[in-house]
Amino acid sequence: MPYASVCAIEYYLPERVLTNAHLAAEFPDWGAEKIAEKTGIQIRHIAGESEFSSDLAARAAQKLFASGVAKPSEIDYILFCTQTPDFALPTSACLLQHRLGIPTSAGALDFNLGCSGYVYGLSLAKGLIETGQARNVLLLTGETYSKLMDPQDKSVRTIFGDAGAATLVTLDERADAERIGPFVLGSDGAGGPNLVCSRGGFRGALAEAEGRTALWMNGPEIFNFTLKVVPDAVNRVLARAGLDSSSVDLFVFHQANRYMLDHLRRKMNIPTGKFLMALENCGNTVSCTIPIALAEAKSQGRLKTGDRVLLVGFGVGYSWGATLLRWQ
Amino acid sequence: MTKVQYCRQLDEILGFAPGTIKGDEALKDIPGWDSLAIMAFISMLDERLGVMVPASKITSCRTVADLIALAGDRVEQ
Repeated sequence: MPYASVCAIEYYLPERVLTNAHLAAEFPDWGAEKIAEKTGIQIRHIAGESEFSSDLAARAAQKLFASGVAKPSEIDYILFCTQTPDFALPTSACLLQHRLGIPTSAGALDFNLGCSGYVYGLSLAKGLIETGQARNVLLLTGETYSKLMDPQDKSVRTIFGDAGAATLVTLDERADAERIGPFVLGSDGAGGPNLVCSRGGFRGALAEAEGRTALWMNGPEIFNFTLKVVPDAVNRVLARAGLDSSSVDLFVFHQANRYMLDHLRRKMNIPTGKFLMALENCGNTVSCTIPIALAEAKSQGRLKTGDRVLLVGFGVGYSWGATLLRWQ
Repeated sequence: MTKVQYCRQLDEILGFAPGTIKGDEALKDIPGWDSLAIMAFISMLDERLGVMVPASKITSCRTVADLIALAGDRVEQ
């Protein structure tokens, strides 16, 4: 049976950067060394004033097409994950279809998820491909949380960066086993108020964040959530695959911040050599962190054909998802 | 874990010399008791004591003694 397979990944980071030195100059009690030590982040890339999520995703897609792995004419579905779409309407994915020269016969939709978005995107792409609805899915992620932040909120400005990523998920007729999956997904809206931004929505401020419309994050509550959910999701996806953690060649978690990732790695007894950290030069880019980390792992030679890669995305919503890839 | 050891963990989280935190300080008077320190505190509770405490209970603490009380019977009071 033909299976969906991740074929190529590219990403794009906007040119403007926010360094720890910049942050320390703005917030004198927030030392640059302390920021780097606790977060693992040296640089975040920030979209320009006239640069939006679809621009970042388009640049990533153009890199992917320029690599020769596929032509725009071969794409028959666009999935665009963003929480900062260009407009309420029209759908940004439709605009991207036109901009990228993808045929008008292609399907296109936006979906609104953050840190779990890439795993959900893979689940949607797999579903489309393995039910015969598409052959070449362009999974795009693009995020500009910088446009949602209060400039005075050092906690979020320290963590989040902007980026776009493009992944080609294709039907591989030669595959003799599943290349993407199984999946473990989850949602808990009770955690909604802990990472929230009412800007761009219609309901107004959530009750718990009354008067607060910019991006707001309850970091300690998010940390508690990840400690509860991530180890369980990893164990359940391995159980579904009939594997144990020693069978996994690389663990790629959503790159939230180094402190949280270090703690999760120790808690789950994952060897450092199998645990990817890739946020130093871009920060937490929300749904782009996992594809960026995978692209970096590939460029560093840390991935070879046949490797089992475990992905976990978790965060805003609350929403989480874990899956296994067989790397090609 | 003893109360002294717990205070040593707080010293480490805050980057203080061992023995700096005595156990009766007001948190508002401790430089560096911020959101990053709270994350490290949550990590310590989980890793060293196997305890998970809602963040709201941590942020409602006013003193180091309140933080010690969060650990319940995992710390000799």
